[in-house]
Amino acid sequence: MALASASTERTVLAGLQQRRADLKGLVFQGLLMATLLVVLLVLFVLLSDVVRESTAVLGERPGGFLTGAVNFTNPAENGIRQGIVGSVVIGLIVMVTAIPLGVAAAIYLEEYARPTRFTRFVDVNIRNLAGVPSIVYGILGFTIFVKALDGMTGGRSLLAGALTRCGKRASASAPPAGRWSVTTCCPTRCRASSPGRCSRSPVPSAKRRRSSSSGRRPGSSRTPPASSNASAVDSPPCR
Amino acid sequence: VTAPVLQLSDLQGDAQRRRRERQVRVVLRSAALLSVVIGALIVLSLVSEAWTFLSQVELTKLTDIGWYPRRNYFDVSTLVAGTLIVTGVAMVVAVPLGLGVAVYLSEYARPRMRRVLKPLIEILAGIPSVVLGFFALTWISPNIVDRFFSPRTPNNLLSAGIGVGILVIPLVASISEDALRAVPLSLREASYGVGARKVQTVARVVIPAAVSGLVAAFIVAVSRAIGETLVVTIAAGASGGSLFSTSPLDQGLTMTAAMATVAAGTDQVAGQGPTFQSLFFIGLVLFAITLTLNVVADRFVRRVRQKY
Repeated sequence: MALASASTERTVLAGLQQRRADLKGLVFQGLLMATLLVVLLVLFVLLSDVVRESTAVLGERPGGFLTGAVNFTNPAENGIRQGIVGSVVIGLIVMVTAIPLGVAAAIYLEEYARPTRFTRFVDVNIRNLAGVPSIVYGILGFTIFVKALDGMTGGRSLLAGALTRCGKRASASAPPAGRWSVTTCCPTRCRASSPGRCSRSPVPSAKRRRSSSSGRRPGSSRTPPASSNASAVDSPPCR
Repeated sequence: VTAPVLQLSDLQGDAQRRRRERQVRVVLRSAALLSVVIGALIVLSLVSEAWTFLSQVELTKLTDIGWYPRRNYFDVSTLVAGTLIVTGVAMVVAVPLGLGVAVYLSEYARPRMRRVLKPLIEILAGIPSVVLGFFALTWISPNIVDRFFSPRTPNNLLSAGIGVGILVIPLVASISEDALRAVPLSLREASYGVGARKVQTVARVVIPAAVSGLVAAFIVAVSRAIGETLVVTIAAGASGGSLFSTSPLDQGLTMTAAMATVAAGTDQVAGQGPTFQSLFFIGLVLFAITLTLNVVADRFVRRVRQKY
């Protein structure tokens, strides 16, 4: 106590107690909030514009517009039934074909494949396919389904795009630390976490490994492949 | 009496079970290999027709006044310029807004705030591009572009670019936010520990630590903006063709929009000159560009990423 002079004590106390306005911080936070507000405003304007313009038509003839057939000669009679049916059918085809294929590819890459150079190539290839513009898939679909398989439509090329997107989504959903440690008999066990979780929670891999193996049913336990423990230690970093 | 010795065969399970395991493995493996096949098919289907195009067209027409495929003017630089303009405008819109939202959500927003805001941003991400194209044409163009700039036509690359920018805001925001939240808390605590304020911590510690993810977000967004088709086709206006122009206030075509307009008129042009084949040539250029960007992004992230 005696070491500090009265003036030093006063200065330190003032520094600790005084609430100096943090101007820079306030401006920074204000700018961030402004960007958020702009984005929300855009969303609001977009939605209200779409709703406002569509209620004009829907209010006039709610049933006729949704269930009517396409009519180019008389816009007042035009309907979008065909569009709705087409969208639903495309969606169903994609669901039936692309999701099983994509999930199967993801299960293979995450649970079965050893981390060889070829596996990494397939992995990178899938991620690149996910970035290819849809119109390029359109050309692929055209070449295959219209030219090679004469008489089918190019619309089915949606399959290819949805397949890779699905594959990418699914392969991102397994926690990477647990990927080589779960035995092949329960490949879905470690898939419970949501996409992107690996980057958010830096759980040590040892902990996650323990939790995933203890969650296994006792009846389903079998000897893991000899390499599984070794590779669990240096499993690839999360993407 | 000797104790039973456990043989290797006891642990392997019976033959039927192993066979089933092998079959499942084959099925799953072929699903993974299908992706390689698709990649190869894309390249194959593009290359052969693109080669046909290059061998049929006069090479001077590839660098002429503009892109008028039905009149045999195939100036690729027109399309590349249009693509660059749209992508540039989109990035000017999306990067500050997306990054700001990401930093706010990751560093400033309280958990309850986040629970409200995240779904709202995801609604924006779920809006189909055709709706945004329509919005760019009917709302952005008259209310924003006409008011603050003086475009020569209601359809212009600027409004298309703003539309594409709005489309990629959620993408930038979500990848950037993931990158920022992956920065461990200990770095922030250390920063506060040496007396830094919140703004200093965010700007000088958290953002530099997350830079690999932020650059990845940027590159992925560029790749998406280059590949965006419908917004530009609807809002940029030049449906038949376009003169070479570097002004965002003009009508214009991007590579994707040019492909869409050629493809939509396929029935009229099939079999007459290289118009139809030009589709494949542009497709190949587009594929090469997006592939390069993806590979670069991948490499960059792998190199810069720091493991915490």
